[in-house]
Amino acid sequence: MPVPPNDIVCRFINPIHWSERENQPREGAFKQEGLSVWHQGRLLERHVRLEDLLIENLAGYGQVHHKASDYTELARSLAEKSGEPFDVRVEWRPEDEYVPTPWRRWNYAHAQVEATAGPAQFLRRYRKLLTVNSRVTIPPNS
Amino acid sequence: MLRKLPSNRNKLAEGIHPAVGRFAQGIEGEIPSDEVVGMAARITEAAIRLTVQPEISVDEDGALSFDLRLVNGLRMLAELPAAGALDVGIYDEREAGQRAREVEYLPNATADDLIALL
Repeated sequence: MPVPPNDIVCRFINPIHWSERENQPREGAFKQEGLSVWHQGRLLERHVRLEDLLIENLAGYGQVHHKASDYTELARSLAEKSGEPFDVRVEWRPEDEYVPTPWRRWNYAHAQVEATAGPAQFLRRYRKLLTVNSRVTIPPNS
Repeated sequence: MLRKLPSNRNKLAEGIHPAVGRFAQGIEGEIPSDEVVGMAARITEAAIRLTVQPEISVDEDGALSFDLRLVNGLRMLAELPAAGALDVGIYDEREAGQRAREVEYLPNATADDLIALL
């Protein structure tokens, strides 16, 4: 099931992937095949803040927020520009295989950004676009 | 012609930039060739010379990443994996409220290609 396009999702950013100069994530922050993201609204409905999830090995991480549609529209723009198919979806993923134990109690708010069509090398170009189109960002350790 | 580093290349790479030293060591058995380390060294030296506050780092997969702000205000993101397939993107983020625009993208760039864009 897709996350509604106008909803805000957050990706937590390892401090090693934070650009001090830009106060934004670096490209390395988006370097997985499936990106794990958290739905801000679903957490807030249950009075949970995104910061509450910064436990265990996520302690001290930063945040970058995107609209779910940012992920899909950037993929679409890349497909248009290149003339080759490339599609990305933002889907709910509450299953245990996607959400490790300490965060499982918040699995109702977990989603995954996944490429569903297109050449694998497009991911390199795509994550660069995500990097320069980071919206609200909260630096690590803040 | 890319410069070849001698056998103590990792030490020399470290002297250019700590990230280049880590890149030269490789990870999980994937060690970049001398030619690729030479490429990393050339790009890094040029980035240090020609850009302000260049951010050069090694990712978990061992690739060397460059996050550079060019003198014309554009941002360059480049990635050099151990296998050597360099890709370079240049972005214009200057219009407030608008999406950042991809000005140029080179999927199989050479070190010379990248340095010419700095």
